[in-house]
Amino acid sequence: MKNELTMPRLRPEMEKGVLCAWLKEPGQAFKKGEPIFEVETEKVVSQIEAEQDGVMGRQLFEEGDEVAAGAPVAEIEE
Amino acid sequence: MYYYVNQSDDPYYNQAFEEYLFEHAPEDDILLLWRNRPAVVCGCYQNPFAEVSVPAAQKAGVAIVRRPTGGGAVYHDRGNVNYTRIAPKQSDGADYGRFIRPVAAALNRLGIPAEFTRTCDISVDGRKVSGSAQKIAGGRVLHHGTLLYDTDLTALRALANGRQAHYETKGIASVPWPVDNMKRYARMDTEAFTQALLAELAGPDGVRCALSAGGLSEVRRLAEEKYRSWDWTFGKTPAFSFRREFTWQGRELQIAYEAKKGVITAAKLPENLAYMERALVGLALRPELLQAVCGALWEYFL
Repeated sequence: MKNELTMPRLRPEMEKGVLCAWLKEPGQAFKKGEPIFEVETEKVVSQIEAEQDGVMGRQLFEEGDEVAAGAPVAEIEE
Repeated sequence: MYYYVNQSDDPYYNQAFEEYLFEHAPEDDILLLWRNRPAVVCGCYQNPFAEVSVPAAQKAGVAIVRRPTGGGAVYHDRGNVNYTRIAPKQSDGADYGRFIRPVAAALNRLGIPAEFTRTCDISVDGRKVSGSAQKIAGGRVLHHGTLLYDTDLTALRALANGRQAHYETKGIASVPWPVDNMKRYARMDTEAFTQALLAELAGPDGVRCALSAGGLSEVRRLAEEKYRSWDWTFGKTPAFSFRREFTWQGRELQIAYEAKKGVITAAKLPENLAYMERALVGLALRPELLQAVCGALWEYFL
């Protein structure tokens, strides 16, 4: 089953964020609670943690890309 | 509140000290005041080549440092006091007022008419005296900010004045803003100001903490292996394109290159210099390596 990771809306008024770093490569497994990517908005670097166990699938953005809040950023395989 | 004392002015060590507290210190409400010798401190996801002239910084003896928080490049010297707060996170996004309001209030008590302005600044008479940034990870937030007290503003403007024109790059851009010092309001030297601010922020119940010998040794390791390393400061740079036109010995020259992670991946030089192109591809953008290939022209590549 495939699922997806999305750009989180870290504050209600957040429209977009910079996906600044992937902390897992495609094919790499992660556990719930592990940091999987980093986002920068308003001079804050936020580590985004996995909400469930999974394996990183295809990444839809490169590091440094600006992404709308709520948009899919990667596929995950459970 | 728990506070740590770090008297070092080594910008790499100080960044490591702060990171160690964020990752390992057990207290949940931490304050740290610290000062750097002259340095340009770039945001975690900036292109440092684009934000500061590496040749100019090298000539001025100014360190270039990458910090772990967001935002743009700032100039530090011993006239600038940095404050760090580490606490449990209360929200997933920016949470500035919680940390900035107490600092502005402490400055007011020291006679400085400081106000919390814009998203994460402190200003006096409409000029910025403090900028701040955060990192949120592992359930904690690290908030830190500069406090321009008696900084060399000429050096600040020369070295941290926004992105240089010849770079086309991803990454976070710096936003220059009119700045000022606070010393004329408080009328004490920077050391006395630092102590007075510590007393105001920590309050009478502040508890002084210290790192163990093992902790200090870990800070030194982190300073050497991470913050002082070329790989962390320059090797993390997003892909960028560089293009510059200039006059050299009476001739108009145009140089262009592409770089990824601080290493040149393609170069285009004028015909009379084309022999350098092969040596440039694969070369890390380090002054000494560029100098070996390009001689006195090296400065034009950064």
